Amino acid sequence: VATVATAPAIDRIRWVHRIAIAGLLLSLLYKHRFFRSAARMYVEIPIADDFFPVFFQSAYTAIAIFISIVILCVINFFMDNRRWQIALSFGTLIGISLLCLHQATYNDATFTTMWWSSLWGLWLVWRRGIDSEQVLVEKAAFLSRVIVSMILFAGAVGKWTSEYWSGEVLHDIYFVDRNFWLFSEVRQRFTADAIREIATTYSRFVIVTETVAGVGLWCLPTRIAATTGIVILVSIALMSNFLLFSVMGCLLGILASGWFVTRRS
Amino acid sequence: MDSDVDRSDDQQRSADWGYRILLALVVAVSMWMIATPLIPKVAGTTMRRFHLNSSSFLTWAWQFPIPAMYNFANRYQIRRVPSSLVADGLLSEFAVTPTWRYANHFPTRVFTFGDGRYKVLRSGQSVWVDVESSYRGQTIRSEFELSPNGAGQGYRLIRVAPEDRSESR
Repeated sequence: VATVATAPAIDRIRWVHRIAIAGLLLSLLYKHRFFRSAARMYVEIPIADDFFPVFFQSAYTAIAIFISIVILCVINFFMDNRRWQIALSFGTLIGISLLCLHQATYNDATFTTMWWSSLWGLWLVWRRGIDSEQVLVEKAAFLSRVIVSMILFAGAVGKWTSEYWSGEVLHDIYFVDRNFWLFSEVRQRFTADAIREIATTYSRFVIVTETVAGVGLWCLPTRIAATTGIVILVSIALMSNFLLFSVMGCLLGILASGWFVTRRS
Repeated sequence: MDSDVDRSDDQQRSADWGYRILLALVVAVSMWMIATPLIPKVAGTTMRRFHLNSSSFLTWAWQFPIPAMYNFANRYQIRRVPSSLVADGLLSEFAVTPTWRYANHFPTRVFTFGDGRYKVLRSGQSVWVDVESSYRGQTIRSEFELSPNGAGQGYRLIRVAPEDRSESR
């Protein structure tokens, strides 16, 4: 009797979960130097603003929540017990929700993308052991690309205005004085008029890319969607601001779930 | 065969409400985004969100899941003198008009966030910040006064003209 050697099956959900947590940690820790210096500013220069409840004005609140989230994610990365995973993921989601509302961190897109990723992560561990592995990975991949599509679409809609279409906004934010390899190179090589033209082309390319990806990414085949989404997100960071890897890290983590989907036999 | 087993097993398993809720949230945010260029009130709500000028903290807070990366044309300028001195004719507009710069989103970040807070407030003196957001012809402008609270006590934020300078053009 001939026997056929088969590769040992991997626990796909475990890997999907771990990669998603690694993405959250990338988002949290990628710009740790910035966060550390920012925390010092918040302690040294508090701003009393009645709009925010006192809890959401305290620098120490933000610092404590941030450190707690890092600890929860590190434990979650190594945790295999489903109940503990749910508890840790829930704690992470609560913490990120609070940072989205804090005076010091409300504007940081990192916490918005982390919020969606951590909500996705909580759903994933909740369904672990309820859905079959195949079904859960398929649903996880679909949800991840729906979330990323929505985030790209939101970015596009906000730019559907003349100031972006003309390139005026991105010219001022990026091309005038931003110290970044691409914009520094452009400033060295071209005249002011040419730079203004380049800014217009750059801005329109961003708007069209975000619009097309926002509308269409979610309906692509699973693996193609995951790969396309990852390429787009990495390109955005490489072509505009390396600190955006902090915003993108968690989205890259959930998109990777698409690579774990296998064809049903 | 296996897939048939999977499907029948899954049909017997509990309904995935988490999946449905997550999808519903994505759809709700997408609807909000689609409404943004169509309904001025929606864009206005987001602009007030960006200016920390929503009618209440709760009104502002429920919008936090809505992504806002590089949304709208947001500008700011930082002044060391109040605009009232210009209105009273004590200073020429030229003397108090610094450069307007664009910010990606939440233009109030220039004095609340990270190094921006340090750059704007390190002097320890009063600072006035004008913030303006535009989207498809609709513009909202806000003015903030940041006054020192005392040595080592940071600043107090005062909204000089939170709502009454809103306009549509």
